[in-house]
Amino acid sequence: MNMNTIATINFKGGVGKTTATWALGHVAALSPNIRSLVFDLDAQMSLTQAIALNEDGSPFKNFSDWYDRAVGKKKTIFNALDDFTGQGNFNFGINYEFIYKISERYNFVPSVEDLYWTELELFDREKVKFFIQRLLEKIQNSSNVPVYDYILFDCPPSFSLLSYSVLSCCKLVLIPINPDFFAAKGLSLLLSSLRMRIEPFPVPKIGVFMNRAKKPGGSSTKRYSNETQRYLDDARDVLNRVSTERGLTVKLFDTAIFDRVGMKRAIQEGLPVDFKTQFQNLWKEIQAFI
Amino acid sequence: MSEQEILNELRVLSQKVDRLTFLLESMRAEQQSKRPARTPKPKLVPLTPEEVQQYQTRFGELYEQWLSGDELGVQGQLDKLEVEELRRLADSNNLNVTSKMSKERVLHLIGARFREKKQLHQVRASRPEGT
Repeated sequence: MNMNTIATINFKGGVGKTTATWALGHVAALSPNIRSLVFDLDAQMSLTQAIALNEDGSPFKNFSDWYDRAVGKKKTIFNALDDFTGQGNFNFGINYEFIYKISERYNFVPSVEDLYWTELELFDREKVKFFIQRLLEKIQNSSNVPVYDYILFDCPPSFSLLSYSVLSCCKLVLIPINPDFFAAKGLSLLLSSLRMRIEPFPVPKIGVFMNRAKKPGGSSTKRYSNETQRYLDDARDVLNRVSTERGLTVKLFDTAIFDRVGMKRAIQEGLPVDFKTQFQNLWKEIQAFI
Repeated sequence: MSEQEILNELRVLSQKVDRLTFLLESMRAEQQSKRPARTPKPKLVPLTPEEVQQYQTRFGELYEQWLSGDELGVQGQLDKLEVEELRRLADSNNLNVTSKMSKERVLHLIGARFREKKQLHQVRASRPEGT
């Protein structure tokens, strides 16, 4: 596949996976002639709901109407999985009933609650591993939708069957961490088990960035607060160790994201300028690494 | 009581109120003058990048020694250091210290950081069945 595929994952919930995935897809599509597609694969549907609801909790009519039609016509990601794991050929049609146009160059495949069922023994587990790869081939070959330059996946905070399906075919695993002990510990656990989970598939490149970094207080000239710097150093140690011990291609991105932005407001009113600049810098580093 | 008498009483009362107000303000001013002047939070003298590097290397060596099981040896070395030196060692390794922090408190921070690093580096991953 020629498409650049990026999976955002971390075992720890609440580190900013969803916001980062959405923001990176957004800044990617700001470049002329670049088209990006974002998948929400988390059954908690955080990204889908952020797009579906206005800041006051009322439904965003354009998307809600489209979503209801997709569910009614059985054109959701769950229906695609159901079709793929069924007895017959994989004949799921790719078009704008399955993919939602946020903008001309930024498209979206929402999640559905039914994805919870994928963890039960209802599907052929071996077959599900190949689902995302086959789905991407269908998207790439479809004449109903454009050829996407970048495809980003917002994965659930666990090695779910769907996460596994994404990780086994993506080019980059993107791991946001926060300046706290549990995020750093989660990074260590994730990297240590990634290879054995993905084998025999090749392990993708691994990129890590600090999200919700804190600035130092007072007149300090340091770039980060002591806490943020300590956990960045720890992340660097972990990455150096696993890249040596397990032969992984890893990178700790120099760009950290400082601000915490309300995701719903950012989606519906646009990214604040400084927040956008930070993600554009991170995106440049990702493009160079991928 | 005549109108003049009432006015005289009011004048006396007004003078008493003025006197009380003066006394209260004097007492407040006296208390404020006794209160120690607010001193800014003490800060550590900034170190050069070379000094920071040296302290980080030293911290790393002490951590490795501590990790290898020689906890008493490390504790002995740290105890021998002057409190200023300890503060610089901790500050260079991004621990939140101030120039007034006690030696015990700085030692506690360093110990906590060693334990945290050890926790982060201990990983036991195993392949789950069925994947």
